[in-house]
Amino acid sequence: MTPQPFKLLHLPIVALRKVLQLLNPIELFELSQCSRRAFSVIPLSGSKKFKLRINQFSNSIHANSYTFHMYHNDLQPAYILHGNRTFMQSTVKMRHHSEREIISFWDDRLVGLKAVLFHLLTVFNCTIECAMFSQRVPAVIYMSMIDFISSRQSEIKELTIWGDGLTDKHVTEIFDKLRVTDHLEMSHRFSRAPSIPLNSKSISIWNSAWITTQHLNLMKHCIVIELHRSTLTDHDITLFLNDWKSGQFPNLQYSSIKSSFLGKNFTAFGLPSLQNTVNPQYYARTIFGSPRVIFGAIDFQRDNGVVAKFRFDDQDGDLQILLF
Amino acid sequence: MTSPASSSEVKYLIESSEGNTFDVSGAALRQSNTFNAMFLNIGADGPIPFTDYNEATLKKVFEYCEHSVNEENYSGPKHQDDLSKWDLNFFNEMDQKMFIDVINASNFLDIERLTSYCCERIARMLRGKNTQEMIKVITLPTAEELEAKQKVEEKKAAAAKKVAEKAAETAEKTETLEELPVQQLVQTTRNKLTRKYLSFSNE
Repeated sequence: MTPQPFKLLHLPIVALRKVLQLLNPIELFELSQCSRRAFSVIPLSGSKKFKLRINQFSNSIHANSYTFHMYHNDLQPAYILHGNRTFMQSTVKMRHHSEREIISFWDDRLVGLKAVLFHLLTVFNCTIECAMFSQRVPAVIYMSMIDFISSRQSEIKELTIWGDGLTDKHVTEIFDKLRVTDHLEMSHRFSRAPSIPLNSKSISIWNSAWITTQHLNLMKHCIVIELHRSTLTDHDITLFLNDWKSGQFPNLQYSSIKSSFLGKNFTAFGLPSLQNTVNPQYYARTIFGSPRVIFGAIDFQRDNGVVAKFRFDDQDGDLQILLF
Repeated sequence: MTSPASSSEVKYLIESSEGNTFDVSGAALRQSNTFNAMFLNIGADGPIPFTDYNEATLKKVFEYCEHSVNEENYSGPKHQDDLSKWDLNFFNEMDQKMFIDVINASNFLDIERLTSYCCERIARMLRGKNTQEMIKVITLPTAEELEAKQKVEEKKAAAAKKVAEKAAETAEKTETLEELPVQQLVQTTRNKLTRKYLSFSNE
């Protein structure tokens, strides 16, 4: 075949679909940049099924196993660039870093993260599976991402709710718009106890001063419960322990509940000590991709005969349970 | 030529857009799902009209089918590096126009193996390339071309709609006179017009 330009978009739709299905997310993205018409045919590739994941720690977005990084413009001189690309209305410098990685350069990396996210969701016509944030994002950027995501989907597998300046209203709104199915992580401190669903499989709340027994009861089907800086009292914890022992919280594999509001004389199940100080061992399991470790635990049998590793540290008010 | 479906020695006559006919073996033809759906069980009286495609294209397509008759059952697209020397020659000796015609014919005849190999070959042109490199290997319609194409499509669709309305109007008038045969005639006309309308829209 002679190497003259090929009329790709004149192919019959079945053939065009087959061709596009053979391209990876980065190749499809590059093709989408060729023209508006090329942009519009990308969903034929089946890109709707792509799994997009935000990793704010590395300021990148993953589409299957292909990565779109967002770097600060200051880093440009260190790299050989490969032209410009347009993400929504922003045209920026970019680099093909490897077969599976693209880097785009931005004045503000978070603005870049948002633009690339919006662009990829639009071009691939897919949903986002996971949006994890490792540091505070300005509320205005965070909420615009949430609004865009929730305009396209009502469920997300994993979500971190963590924004600089997020109000109670914002957070309640997020719960109204998006159901977090697998893992919810949040650091927002509510000014008063909210009425929100807490039914994700795994919940980590870094600032859980607002958590009450009612909230704990909403978590009865959780697999992981991690509560830091709670204000739960002796009575609350005793209720929780009795419920757990009697077979409620049937799916619970790991919990770590920390409270500085426990009385000095509080003991779990009225037992004097629930730690192994003679021959303490590490027990670790990976649950939902995160290692869950417990040190110096003792065996504790629930009413249904299931034995769990159990530890209560009365120094820092930390109650840990691990099914091992 | 009428043929029983099972006999691989049976030859079928194929008619091209030029009105020319040529023989194709039943075994080769059976690689076409379109043929299987249309003629396999009922056979065909006279040449099978694949008159949207010229003789050269159809011969090329069936050359491929004849060649792959004895190959193992198709199990998904092969990597280009795994193609046989014969396959590579087959593709290399086509110019782009013929290649596109072959894809179109293969797509219509629903010959999965050939369509997939053609698509893999096109994907290979794009694989690992950035936007600038892709623009060099593919021709993209300009805004003017798109606009012109859209205008032609609209014009064709409007014309087809007008004809369809007229036919329906005529059919309604004559329906009461000879109810059954006319109804059949109208239905046939409507079907033809719908097909034509759809083919305009898909162009």
